[in-house]
Amino acid sequence: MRKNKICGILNLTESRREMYPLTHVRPVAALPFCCRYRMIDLPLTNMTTAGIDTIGLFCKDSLRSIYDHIHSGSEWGLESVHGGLFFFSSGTADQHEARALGRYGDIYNYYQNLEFIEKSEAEYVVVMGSRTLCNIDIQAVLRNHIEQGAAITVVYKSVERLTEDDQEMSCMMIDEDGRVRALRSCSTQARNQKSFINMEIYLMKSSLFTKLIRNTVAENERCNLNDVLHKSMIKLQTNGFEYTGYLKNINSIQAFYNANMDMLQDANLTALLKGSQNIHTKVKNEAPTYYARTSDVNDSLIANGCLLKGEVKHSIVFRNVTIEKNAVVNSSIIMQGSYVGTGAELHYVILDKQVRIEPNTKLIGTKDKPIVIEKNSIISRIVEDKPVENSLISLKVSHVDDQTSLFS
Amino acid sequence: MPILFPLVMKNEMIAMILAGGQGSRLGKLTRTIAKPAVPFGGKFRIIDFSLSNCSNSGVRTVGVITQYQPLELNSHIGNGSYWGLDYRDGGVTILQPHSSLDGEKWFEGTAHAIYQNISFIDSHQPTYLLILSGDHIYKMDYERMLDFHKAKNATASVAVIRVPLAEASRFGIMNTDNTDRIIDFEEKPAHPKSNLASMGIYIFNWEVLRRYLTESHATGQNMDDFGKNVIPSYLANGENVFAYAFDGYWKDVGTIESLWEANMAFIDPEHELNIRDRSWRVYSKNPVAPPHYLTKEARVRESLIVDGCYVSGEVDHSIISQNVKIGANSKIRNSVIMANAVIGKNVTIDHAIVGEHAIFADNAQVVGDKQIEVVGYNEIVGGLGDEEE
Repeated sequence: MRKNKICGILNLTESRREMYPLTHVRPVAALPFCCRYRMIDLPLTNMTTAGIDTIGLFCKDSLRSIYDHIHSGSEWGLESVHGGLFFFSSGTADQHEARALGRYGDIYNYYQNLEFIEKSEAEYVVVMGSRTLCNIDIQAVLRNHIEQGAAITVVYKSVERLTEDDQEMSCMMIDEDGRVRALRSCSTQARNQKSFINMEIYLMKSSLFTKLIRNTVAENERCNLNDVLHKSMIKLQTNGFEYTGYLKNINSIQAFYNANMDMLQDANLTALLKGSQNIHTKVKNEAPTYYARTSDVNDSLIANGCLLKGEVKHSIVFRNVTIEKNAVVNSSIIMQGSYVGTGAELHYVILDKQVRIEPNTKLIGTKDKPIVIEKNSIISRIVEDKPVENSLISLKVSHVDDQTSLFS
Repeated sequence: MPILFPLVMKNEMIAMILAGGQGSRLGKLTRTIAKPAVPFGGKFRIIDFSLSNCSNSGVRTVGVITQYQPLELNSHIGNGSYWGLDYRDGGVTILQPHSSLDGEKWFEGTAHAIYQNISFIDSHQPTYLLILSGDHIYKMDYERMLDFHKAKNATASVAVIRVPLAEASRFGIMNTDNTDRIIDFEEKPAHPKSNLASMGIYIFNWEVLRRYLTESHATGQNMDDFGKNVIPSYLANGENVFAYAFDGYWKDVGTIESLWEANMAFIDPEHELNIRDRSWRVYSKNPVAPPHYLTKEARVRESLIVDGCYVSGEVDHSIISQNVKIGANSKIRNSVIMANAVIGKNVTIDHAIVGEHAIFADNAQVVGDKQIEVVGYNEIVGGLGDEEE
């Protein structure tokens, strides 16, 4: 056993419902974020920067979009002879069997694969999810864990007031010694009350982790890993580690939109994506982005490979996007490979990948309720003989049944 | 249909890229790095074009011969994975001069560099050897040239491009018969008879070339250079040497002016090189950087910008490479700014090439005209520490 070796566990069994339609085609971990990243890049980079070379990805369904993004993990330096990436999906076939045996929850996926943790010969495990956007130094958490002599260390963020985006999270009661005493749902807290949000990042000895899972299964409990950890936090000596950087819980389309827009402020971008650790992602070969003489772009984050000929304000533009002449894109998120035709106008819109906005189409959402257009859609304005009154936004939505694009 | 086998049979042809040249006419830009490592087009280095051509043509084994200032080039190429050239048997190998019992082995010329690496080539047992220069910007399918070479039953083929007759005396000129067979070769002729210029790209039957190189070495005959010695010697011995005509974009950016012009032309999305063509990509080493940010004050027109930049000023008809910072009210026009340069506020740059990691203090000015201004790598312009400005 290498001293202080940590094994990483990415707990990606997160619920997708809240993020429909963006998560119809992908798990939360594979959601595109800020021009060129995916949500999973953050916890993955946090782990590898901390020197973690053995990482298990636990997932409840298809790993395709995640695997397509990560492959052997070479971008994160995970293809060495030591450790590597391990994928564990509970899979649909297993789920039927699990139901027949009366086993619900992701805990069985962990139970069946405990061998992974034992084989890794790691002294500690760290558990992270992908819906909590943060950039954390896991070695600092480990140092704190060892100093405090806690059984479990849990990471939290102290906030002066809770927002709409925090409602799904839990917050902790912490005593003067930094010990966690109780857990509560954020939705039961008063909004303007100082709270300690549980970021669902846990560090403990691997022996304790395997024991918790074995005991839960022995007691025939049907639950998820997070439930087990929540219970154990109260039962065992658990200390809090305060995280002071940028944090956003991606629990809704609104939160996702806000987090992307937050990146337009240099301080947030620096804190999350390039501060103490440069976040890694799958590298693609794209040409530089071209700005035409007719373009008018500012207050925006732009990826490589775009052709920009129109107006872009306060927006996030992913790779290989084309914005035609006289098009207006304002306060919007335009994902990879999308096309905005001449004279089209988008305000407060999220275009998923490979969306085509036909010329002169107008889509106008609001700051609190951005319009979301699904992957591969073609949006065109219906041109009729007789103009219909008050039908500025008459839309026709159609989907391209393009299987190959699923893999991009 | 998926391609189950590589386009060229494994090791039927291997490539050797001659990347040892200094490119002295590029002045400050090649003082510390070799010409093939000079940045181009915002996110490429010149050698990326040859390496990508190899990758796209199905050439799986590539030797890169370096000599002059190889550090930057070696770290750029690494194990070749960025070009998809990290095969288990083959891939990219960097070949540097080394000493042996016979003494030190500096490369005396293009063919001499091949002679010094005979054991590397032999270890791959190729039928054909492709010789490339790492100095040129172009897209070319070497597999088609190999087909031509085979169809003509040649022992050597030379890729040629038509140049304006007025400029022909700057090149090695091939005179051919009506079957494309080369009957005469003139190096930089005063009175060129044709306008077919050698591109410095050759395919040789390895067995024959190997014999020429080893025998001449034994007899003390000079066989150091392909253009000056090898091709004339082939012709004198009646070997079948053919000219393979190439008609795409090809640029030898040998001078500051031509490097600047090639970069400026590259901005145009309709450029002949068609850099956005997904069926023939130009690969490069891609460091990780966040997307680029244009502030509320930024004004960008007719330009190329790459990941990691922060632009607050005005950019017109310029190329801004990775991680460049441009402060408020600065004006960048008709210029190439290489990676990691930091440009302060109220700076004016026009008709210039700015090297990597250069620093401009607030209010600094570098304005060229027909003569392009060059700011070297790591150079500091303006401010207290400056003596040149």
